[in-house]
Amino acid sequence: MKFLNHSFKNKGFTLIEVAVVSIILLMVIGFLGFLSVKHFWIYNSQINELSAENDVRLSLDDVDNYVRQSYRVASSHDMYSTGAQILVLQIPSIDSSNQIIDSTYDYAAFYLQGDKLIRQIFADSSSSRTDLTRILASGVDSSNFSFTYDNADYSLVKEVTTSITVTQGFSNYQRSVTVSSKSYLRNYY
Amino acid sequence: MNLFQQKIKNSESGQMMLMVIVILTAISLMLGSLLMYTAAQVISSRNAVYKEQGLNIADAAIEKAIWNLNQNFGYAGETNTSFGGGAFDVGVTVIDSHTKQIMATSYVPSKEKPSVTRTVSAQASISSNIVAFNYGVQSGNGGFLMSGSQTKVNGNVYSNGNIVSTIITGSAVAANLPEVVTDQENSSPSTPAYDISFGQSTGTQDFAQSFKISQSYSFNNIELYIKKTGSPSDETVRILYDNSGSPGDPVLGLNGMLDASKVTSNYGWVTVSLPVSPVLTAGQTYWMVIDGTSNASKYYTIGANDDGYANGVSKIGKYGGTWNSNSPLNADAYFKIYLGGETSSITGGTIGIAGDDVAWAHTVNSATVSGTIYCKVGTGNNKSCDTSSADPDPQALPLSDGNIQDFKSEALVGGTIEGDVSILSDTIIGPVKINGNLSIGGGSELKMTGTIWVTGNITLSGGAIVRLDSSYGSNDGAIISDGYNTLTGGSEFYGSGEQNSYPFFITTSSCPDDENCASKNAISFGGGSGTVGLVAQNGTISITGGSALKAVTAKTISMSGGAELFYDSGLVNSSFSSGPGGGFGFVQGTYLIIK
Repeated sequence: MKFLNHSFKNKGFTLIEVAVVSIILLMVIGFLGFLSVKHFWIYNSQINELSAENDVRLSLDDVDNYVRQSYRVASSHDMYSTGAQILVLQIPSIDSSNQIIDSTYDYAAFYLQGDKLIRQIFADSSSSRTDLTRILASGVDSSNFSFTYDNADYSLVKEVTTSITVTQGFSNYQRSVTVSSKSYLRNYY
Repeated sequence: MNLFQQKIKNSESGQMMLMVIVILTAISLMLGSLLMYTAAQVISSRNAVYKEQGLNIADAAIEKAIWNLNQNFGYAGETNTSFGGGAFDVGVTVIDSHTKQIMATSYVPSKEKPSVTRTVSAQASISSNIVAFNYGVQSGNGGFLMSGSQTKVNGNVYSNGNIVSTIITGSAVAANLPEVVTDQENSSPSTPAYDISFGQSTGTQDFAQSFKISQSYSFNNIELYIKKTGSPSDETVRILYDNSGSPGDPVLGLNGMLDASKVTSNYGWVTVSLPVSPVLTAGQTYWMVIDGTSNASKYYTIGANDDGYANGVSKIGKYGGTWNSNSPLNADAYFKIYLGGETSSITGGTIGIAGDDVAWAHTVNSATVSGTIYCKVGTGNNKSCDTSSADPDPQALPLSDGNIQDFKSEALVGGTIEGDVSILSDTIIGPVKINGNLSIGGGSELKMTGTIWVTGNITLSGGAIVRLDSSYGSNDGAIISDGYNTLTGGSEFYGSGEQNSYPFFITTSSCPDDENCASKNAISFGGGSGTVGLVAQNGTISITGGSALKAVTAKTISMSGGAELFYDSGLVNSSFSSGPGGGFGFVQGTYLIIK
């Protein structure tokens, strides 16, 4: 009897106890779930934003570097003609000692291919640069991408402004970053 | 039983711990991977910022290096200089005396632990004007005129006008002036709207028309659209300076003759030839005056229109007396002025000491030449003309208006001194603009540390010394003036101490071909010690004393009184420097991002 009393006493939960515990557990689980979903959404958004920012920054940095070194904005080269979404730069060629070769030029073309921003180098045969095509950014919004110039005559352009919007992610996690940069042709003379 | 229950209880304990560990591990792995990805993104983003930051630091280092070069010509670079959240190294190497290669490497965030390293190179060149003095002694179409039996040039002479020689040890070349051109004209409509008669009474006996020529070529002739009434006498046609909007003093006694016999009672173009071919200054106002007597029944009438000529106006009155406006107020006479078309000559003297020293002009007279005489016409020479060569073409004078403006701009960098400056003790100045006159005397020394622009006149006397600061290196230094320069009294001229560095006196003055010249030449040089360059492309340089000259260039050069010149013969390039006041600048076209 003592045993039975003791066993009964240890195993028993009142209905109220079970209900309270259940409610608490549901609240905890719900709270954790809510936190997890929110955290996942924020995290993905931030990741996408960081990724978009990186792409924008790196591509603008690349464009800026080439514009700075350019001698002229070329009206065209190969199959590319300078315009609102195509930039063709005439850059002094360099030798293997990184010395500028007089009156010899390489060309760099920046253009969109789908949602990708491409930089293509057309090197002179005497230049230490090599022909190269490189994707600078993905997810470029073509409706928000442009090159603008300080002069309608490309041979007189001394300043190029690049505006680019890159979108990364999908659905609710999609993030867009828009950046504009102005660069000067330091080798224009 | 208690023991059994206890065993059961013990076997169940720890299950929750296991579950917690499994769940925590899973969560930790998820969070860890996510954190790592985030960290990678952050690092990537930070590096992108560092790259841009590094490029800007390297660009700033280039700019700072150029600034340092302007403070210290010998600046060779620096290492690990903190700047803008990073550090940079700069290396400077010498390309030539004017150009240096700058290599700047930036480190972000620090040189000791760099996340990003960027390297940029560019060239900096001292802001110099390379002026090609292709001929040590070069005169414009005013010619090169020597007098005095011992007056001597040790070297070559090139003139766009006549050469009157005494002793020239090199070659002498006198180029023809360009073909004759109609430089000024007022002749429309073909039938003049107005008739201006003059010579009927004393107060209206003379007619005057002002004009400006566009090129400093010699006068060839004048044409007037004129008719006569009765039989007036010949008239004198004078060229005069402007005096506050009316005819002023005569230009070198320049008079032509209007031959009355060539003028009829109907309008016609009549040529007035001038006995000499003066070279007037382009853009300056002159007057042609038809000067004669008066007679009520014997007079002239010149065709005119109302303001048909933009560069002048007509007046009526009396030469040496009062001038009045015509009616209409802006009436302009019909006239044409022809310039150029003259052939040049070399007259007299001993030319050359070697077989390849030549005399070359359309006409060479009374010359003793060591080499060939290239000419079309020649008399009294020691050998006959070699007619195989065409007449020489005129050569442009070395300094352009742009060169002059560059010098003035360099001087302005150092500010402006208002009023006259008189230097009577050793003084160091430059770059500077002096809005007045500059005089140096009392044996005092002017040491130039930059280009000096004097808007008035420059006078050196009493053993004045002009010296370039050592910072000029192998460059020349310039003193620009807009007035006339009088360099006399045994003045001394010294460069920076390095080879091929000389002071230059450059004036824009057209003296003495200007009524404000007080009979002074643009540069009057009485000789001295040391070496100096003289440039007066609009005026006359008069040399009366011996000196060494780096170069002398003027519209007209006259040497007299046994003066003797020594200069660097052959091709001469002068490199002018603005000195330490701000010379080095970025050379566009040399910027390169290496890394």
